Amino acid sequence: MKNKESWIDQRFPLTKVWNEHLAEYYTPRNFNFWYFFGSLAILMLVMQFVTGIFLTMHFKPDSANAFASVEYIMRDVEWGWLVRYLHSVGASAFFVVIYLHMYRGLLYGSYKGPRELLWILGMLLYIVLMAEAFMGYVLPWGQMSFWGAQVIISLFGSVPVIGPDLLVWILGDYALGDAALNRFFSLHVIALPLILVVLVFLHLVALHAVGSNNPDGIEIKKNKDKDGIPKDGIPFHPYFTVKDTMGVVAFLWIFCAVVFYAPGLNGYFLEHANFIEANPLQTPEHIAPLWYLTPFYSVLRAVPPMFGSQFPGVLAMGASLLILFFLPWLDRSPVKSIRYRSPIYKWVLGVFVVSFVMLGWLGMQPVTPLNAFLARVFTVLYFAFFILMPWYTSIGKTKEVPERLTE
Amino acid sequence: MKTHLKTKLTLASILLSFNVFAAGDLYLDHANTDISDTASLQNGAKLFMNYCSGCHAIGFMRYNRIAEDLNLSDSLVAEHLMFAGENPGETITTAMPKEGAVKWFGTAPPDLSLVARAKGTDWIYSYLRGFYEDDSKSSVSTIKCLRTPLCLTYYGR
Amino acid sequence: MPEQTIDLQKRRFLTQATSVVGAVGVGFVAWPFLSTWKPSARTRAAGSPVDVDISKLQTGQLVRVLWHKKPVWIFKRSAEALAALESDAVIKNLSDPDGSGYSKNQQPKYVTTSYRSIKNREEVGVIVGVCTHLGCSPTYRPEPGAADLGGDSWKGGFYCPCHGSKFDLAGRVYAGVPAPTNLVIPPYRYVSDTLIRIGVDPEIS
Repeated sequence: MKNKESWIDQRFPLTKVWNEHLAEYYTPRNFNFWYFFGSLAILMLVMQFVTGIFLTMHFKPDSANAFASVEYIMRDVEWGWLVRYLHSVGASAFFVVIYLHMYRGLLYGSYKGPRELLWILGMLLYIVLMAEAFMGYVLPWGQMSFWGAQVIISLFGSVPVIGPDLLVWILGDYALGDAALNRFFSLHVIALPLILVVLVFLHLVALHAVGSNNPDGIEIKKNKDKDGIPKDGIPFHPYFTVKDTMGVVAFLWIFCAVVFYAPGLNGYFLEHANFIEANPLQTPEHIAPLWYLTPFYSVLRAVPPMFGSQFPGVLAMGASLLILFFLPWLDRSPVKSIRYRSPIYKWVLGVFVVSFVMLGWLGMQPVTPLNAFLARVFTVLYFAFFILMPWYTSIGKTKEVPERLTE
Repeated sequence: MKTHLKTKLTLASILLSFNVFAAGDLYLDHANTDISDTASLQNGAKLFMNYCSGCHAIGFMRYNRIAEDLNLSDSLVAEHLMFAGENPGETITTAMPKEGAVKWFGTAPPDLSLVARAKGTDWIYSYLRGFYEDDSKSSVSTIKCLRTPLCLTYYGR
Repeated sequence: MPEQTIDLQKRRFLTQATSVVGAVGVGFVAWPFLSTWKPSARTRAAGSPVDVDISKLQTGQLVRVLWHKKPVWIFKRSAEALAALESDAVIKNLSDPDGSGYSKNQQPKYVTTSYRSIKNREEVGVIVGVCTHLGCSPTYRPEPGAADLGGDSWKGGFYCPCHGSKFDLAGRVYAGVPAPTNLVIPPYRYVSDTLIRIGVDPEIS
């Protein structure tokens, strides 16, 4: 065995990488529940890749056969139903994991220096993932696939001056149809997944370059022992490989319960309208994207048309996403973790969470005067969280941050 | 931390309760289906093949799948559910031609393979029971889409 | 924090036990995915038996049908052709005349040795028309004495244009050609005197 290692090590930095990034990568010892979601995100990426690869073996990406090929997978392919449900539930589970992963960042200030680039790479991953999920949902070519795509893609038509030409260029046709379906298939199956893999790699490189944050927001590298090892650090392997394995098992219990007993989750994970084949002549009563995109859909609908154009709504939706990139610079608090922040911050964060969740729910509802009003209120609150952040993070009494970890 | 947890839980429960009402704008009877009642399912298969499959295809379903799922032998299915000499592995299609259907009924009778997933069992139950006769002797349904012929009014009684 | 003594045996047991359970888990997860490669219900339905009406089949005529996506020949042999199949002149050229060598598994048990068709219905041959070398479909050359196939020594059979393999009118392979085994005889039965069903064995009588 020793001989084999050194043959490889002479030609490839295997042991070196193993040590630097696993066995001797020192991680804060106080990682809690909120720190499961990074490894779970990797699990979900692998899950979507494997199930997606097997689905692609049977799916037919042309508009005449797409819908039928999905039913073929569900009924005629051995165990095809399981692969399909793992993929569709997996998409929603991926977003559950990602939202909790991002929330951890908000709780513990994981976006603050020197981790700004880590946060930016994460945000890029989030946007690419949303595009990937959107295109994936179009592929089954059901009513919701078609009309949801119709609505979102026509937003590009609202760009001033170049809009209509841009729309035709994206669609490859004068309306949504086979041309768009085929190019979305290619983007969904190979282009965006490649970009996701590269971004995940860069995200991990950026993380390991500066080291992980922790629930106390204390930089463990500031306190090293005589061997240069952080006093509050423990090696990632075996402590967190084991902990994360346990997290994977617990997560898979819940995930499989949904996959086997409620895969459509009553229309939240697989919308009812999508079991009818796309009909360009008939629009379903309610068009809504899946739950993970609805907060931003809400923002889009909250902004009324201005100057005869829908474009302001598009800008607002884009702004609601892009403003997240600026978080590291908007936050002027001297402390990272919510444990040491002022009570003001805790209330503001609570309002933000409520706003985001309510925007998500409102995005799934039809537009009524009450819903429209609420959407506007929560959109304002959502933006206020960011715009007012330089102010409210500078005021208020923060607690004294200890030198060493408290757990 | 704990206050946030409470907020989230409260919110989640409010949301979930809202959505029960937000979904339907149609009053539907509750279907009370029991999918473990194999005899009832077999009866349903018989009714569908005898009364509905003349116009409606269930093109994603195969005869041998019905046999397998409903504990019927292939020969029973062939004898009672297959009327055109098909193979047991074939899908269940209808002989009604599309153009003819559009001419006679105004629209082609839709394939019903996925109607339970798309509209729900309550909808199907209410639809089938919602037909009544009006004076013009055609059948009218309390729900939209009323091309299904007069015979269903008898089931509505 | 006080140093704990590490129980290496316990640690090894736990690691091994987890690995075994994990390996079993991987097997259970892999099974459905690998199963998706099995022929689907649609493919199995398309693989149903094929019926061929031979009421109008002339002597010397060959009919081709598609079964399991392969060409199957149904052809009627003359009395001279059947006699030739049992003659030394043909048998001395063959690699495995009685089908007991390498061609053991190329035909169902119920076909006869000399004619490779169902007993008492030897006129009609039913053969899968795929060369056992690399899969081309051989041409039908029933006429004896064809100049390009050996002149007088050619008593009728099949010739594969891809690499030159030759088979007799019972689908038995010649010696010294690229194809290693006799042509495959599919399962088939006589539903009636004029209807052959390819894909199912005869009923046991």
